[in-house]
Amino acid sequence: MELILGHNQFIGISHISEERGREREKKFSKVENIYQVVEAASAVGFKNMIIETHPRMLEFLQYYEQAQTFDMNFYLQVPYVQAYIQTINQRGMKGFLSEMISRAGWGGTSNLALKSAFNFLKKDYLSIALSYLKLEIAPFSGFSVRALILHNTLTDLLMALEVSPVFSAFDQYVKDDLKLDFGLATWNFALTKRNLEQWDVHPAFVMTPVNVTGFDMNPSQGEVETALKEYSGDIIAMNILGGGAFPLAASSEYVSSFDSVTRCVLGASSKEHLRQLREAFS
Amino acid sequence: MSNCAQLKVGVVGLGKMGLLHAGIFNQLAPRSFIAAAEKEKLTRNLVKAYMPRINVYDDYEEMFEREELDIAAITTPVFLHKPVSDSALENDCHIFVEKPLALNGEECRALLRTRTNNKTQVGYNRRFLETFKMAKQILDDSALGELKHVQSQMFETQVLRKEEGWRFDASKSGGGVIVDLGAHVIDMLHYLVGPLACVHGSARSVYSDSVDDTASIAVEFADGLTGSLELSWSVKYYRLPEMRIVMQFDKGTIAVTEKYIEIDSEVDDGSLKRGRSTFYLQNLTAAVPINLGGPEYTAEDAQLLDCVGNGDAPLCNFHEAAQTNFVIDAIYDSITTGEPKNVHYGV
Repeated sequence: MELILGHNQFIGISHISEERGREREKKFSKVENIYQVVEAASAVGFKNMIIETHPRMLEFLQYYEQAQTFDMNFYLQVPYVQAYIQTINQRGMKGFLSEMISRAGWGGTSNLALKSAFNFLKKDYLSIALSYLKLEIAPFSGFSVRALILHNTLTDLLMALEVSPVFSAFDQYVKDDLKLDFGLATWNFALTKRNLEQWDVHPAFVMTPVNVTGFDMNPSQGEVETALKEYSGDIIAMNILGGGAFPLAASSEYVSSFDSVTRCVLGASSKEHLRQLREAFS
Repeated sequence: MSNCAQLKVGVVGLGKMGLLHAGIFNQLAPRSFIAAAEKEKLTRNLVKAYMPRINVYDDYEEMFEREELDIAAITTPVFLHKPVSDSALENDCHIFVEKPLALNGEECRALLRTRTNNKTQVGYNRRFLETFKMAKQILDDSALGELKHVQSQMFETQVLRKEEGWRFDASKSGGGVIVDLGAHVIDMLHYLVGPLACVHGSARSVYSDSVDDTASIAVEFADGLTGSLELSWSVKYYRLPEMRIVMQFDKGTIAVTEKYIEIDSEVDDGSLKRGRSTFYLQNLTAAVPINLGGPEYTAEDAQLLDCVGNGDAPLCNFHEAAQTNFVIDAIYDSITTGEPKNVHYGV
């Protein structure tokens, strides 16, 4: 089982409580503290890490590049949904879309600007969105990014609304233009699997919750288990430990019971916890 | 749920919440999302380009007239909730409307006077979270004895500078943080504890020009119980909106948030264990048919569909939700006059 270090703890996210999230937010506001945990993760065998286009993650990568005492590959999750939601809350959908178009159109490189202006006239909003995405990921392109993951918030909304063109466009863009693996995160694996098969879209992997209690294994733990067994692609298991609410040994045994689960995402904030995870999931 | 496949859902207002509810209804009752009304041309063009089977209008009345919808999901700015709800009821639709029900108590009273047999649900989604449901069960069972005091709060990092948009225009939103976050807490206080008799509030606009950014409110319930409500959308380090209610009983204390419920019990009666116990959402929550942003959104929509099928009343219908507006009116009245104000629930 390939282990991937999760990043939620570094940006103040906790599934247990917002208080814990705030404690971590404080601790990891110093990127040296993130670096120490990632370095410890590397020492016990983690070779990959998930990051978002969060400003702190970029700061961490810059520190990592300067200090580099270990090698790590990165899965970059996009878009940075929290920032998008904040913009939508403050400026509405119109304000958000206008910002996207103006930044992709006029804030990008001149080539991108011309392309985006042309796309806007053609009402090719998907190309504009991909241009915007290109701007978002540009600062991260110098690092060893191995794959791009579409955030579950966007994957699940588009799956529910059956907006199929986005997935083939994203797939093509990530594979052909960026030369990276294309992956999807989802909390609704049974629906995602059904749609991907129907639309003939084949991501390099799907990242989805796999845990003993069935939390976020929607529409039911049983249906997701069946879908996981039938799925021919690679699965990255996430939300395995419920932020610490689920038992370690039983969780490890559970994810290992699915052949399609080849990788799992685990979050940790200390060396001791990393060692325990390595032992349990080896 | 019966006959879901035949249901037709139209969404008014395709912002963040409109898309979310469109997606949920579309999965709960397969392909039921068939129409949308949206003022912004850019959003309409996006729908036409990437969801070609959806009929999209710039005028909600035209959508209601032409589409023969079963359900209207109203996710517009607050000032449109009442006129769009009126139009939806005239066109015989069941309604889901985001919270709060309307701009003020007067608009709510007008809506409640409309005679209808149609089902209504207002988006006070925290009633559907397992942590708050567990707290409600403990209160209903009176397991910890008499409730002595209630402390409530809701915070979010949202407004740390002067912002623009309808939320910051009281004539369109009904108010600031008292409406945006406070409505959720007031609804939860109604759900858990009961009606309020009197409120005494103060509020401050820290960054906004014309709406409140922080508020502090003393509350008294109908049975004489007292408590407090603290609100701010201008505090740092609250990545997500977080509601926290602490209830002190004769024989214990409960602290409940969206993510956990902590019980300190002096009794051991089978359902409750003596001492401190913490239950996390992920241990309490069952899977849902579709999860877009949280199981509570799915649960409120699913319940509306169930009630349309079986004739029951949804948990947070117009009558339930209007109470929150009545309390908000009293709070603003108290802030304006500097005096405690009684809450008037009558229609």
